[in-house]
Amino acid sequence: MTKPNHHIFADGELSRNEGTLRIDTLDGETEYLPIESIDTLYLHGQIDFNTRALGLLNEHNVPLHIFGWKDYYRGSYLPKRGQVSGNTVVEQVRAYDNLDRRLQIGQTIIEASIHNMRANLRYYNDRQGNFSTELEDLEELKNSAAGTTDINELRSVEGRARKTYYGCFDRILRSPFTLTQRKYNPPTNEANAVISFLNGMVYTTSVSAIRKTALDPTVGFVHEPGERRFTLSLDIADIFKPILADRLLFRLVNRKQLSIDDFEEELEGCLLDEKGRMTVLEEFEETLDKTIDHPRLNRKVSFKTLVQTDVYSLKKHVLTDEPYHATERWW
Amino acid sequence: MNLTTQLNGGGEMHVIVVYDVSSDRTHIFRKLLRRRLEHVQQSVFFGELTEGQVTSMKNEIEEKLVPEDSVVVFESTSPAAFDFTTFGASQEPGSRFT
Repeated sequence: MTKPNHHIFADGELSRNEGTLRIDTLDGETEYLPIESIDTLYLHGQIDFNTRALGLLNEHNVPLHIFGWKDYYRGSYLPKRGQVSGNTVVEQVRAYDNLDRRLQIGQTIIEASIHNMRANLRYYNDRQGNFSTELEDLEELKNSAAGTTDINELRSVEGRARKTYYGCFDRILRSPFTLTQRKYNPPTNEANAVISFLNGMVYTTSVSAIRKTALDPTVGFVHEPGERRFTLSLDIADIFKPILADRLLFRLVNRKQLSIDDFEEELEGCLLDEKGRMTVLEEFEETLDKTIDHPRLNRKVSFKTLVQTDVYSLKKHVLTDEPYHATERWW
Repeated sequence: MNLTTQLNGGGEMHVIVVYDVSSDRTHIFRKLLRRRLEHVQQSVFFGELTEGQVTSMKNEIEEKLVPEDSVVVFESTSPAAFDFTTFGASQEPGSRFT
């Protein structure tokens, strides 16, 4: 079982009280969070906190992700490592440093990512338009990913796949939502705003999952280390964006759960307002809880666990050379 | 939002704990329970826990107990059979948002 996440939207103060987390909101309300029953804590409002609060998160291994304005994701406070294994880090860096191994892991990630993009298009094919050309293009790109000989070539395949894929969004999204071009920092229209917000959530979900292993989040395989973000999380997030983020965007828009009123225009940008973010997050949390039969594990797992098993599989591959199963939608 | 699915996803056991202890001892159990469960009302706590969490919670309760104290732990392993209705100012239990 995985514990649920908790999101704080209220403005106020976060403190440690009687061995657990206490939130005093500016509205004068006090709430207590059961620290032992939280997986990850998200802050969306304006919150003050002190070292004692961080110490508590530390003791209970609860990562804290902070979302703000603009491109949404602000940063993370990660508790001191629960899992330490020098061996794992050494093997991870070795795998990164060995061109063949790095490329092979990268290819597995990109193939899975393209596979999951295709799965989305296949679902909407004939439902919201005809995507047969794009489906073929993606199939070809997936095959050519396997034949790439260096990481730059692989990245350009990934870039082309994403471009083809995003090119279909306009036809899937019910008007007035449009996506003529993927733009971020800040997002320029409503669809871009939702994608940015959800991608941030997928990214932090990966950060939390990697934190539960001894893997080093800064050493990625497709993304180049030194991009200031946790590059391994970016790699893992690429696999899950189509499953956890894009599919959700389509659903939210096409079932009219989101409307243009849920956004606010900023200088040269467009962002979800608080109500819009709540709507998106409620559905995102529900998506994480959704379960499917896992053929290899032979039991039902939630989508959240799926991210975790993907990371475990990568770790095992790095350590023992067992094949890495990047998650390809099978259901 | 479909609250039932939301609750099912997280856990294996739904737990309700109530206590009736002398007023100078309530803080002992409040502190112990707040770490794991949601404080629903004065001496009523609710949440989802793993079996391990339930066991360690029970052990801790037992350690703190004096003869006059009364604590009851209700638990259900089939979340699908669990439902609730809230009246008045009560907040819906199990919310992931503050």
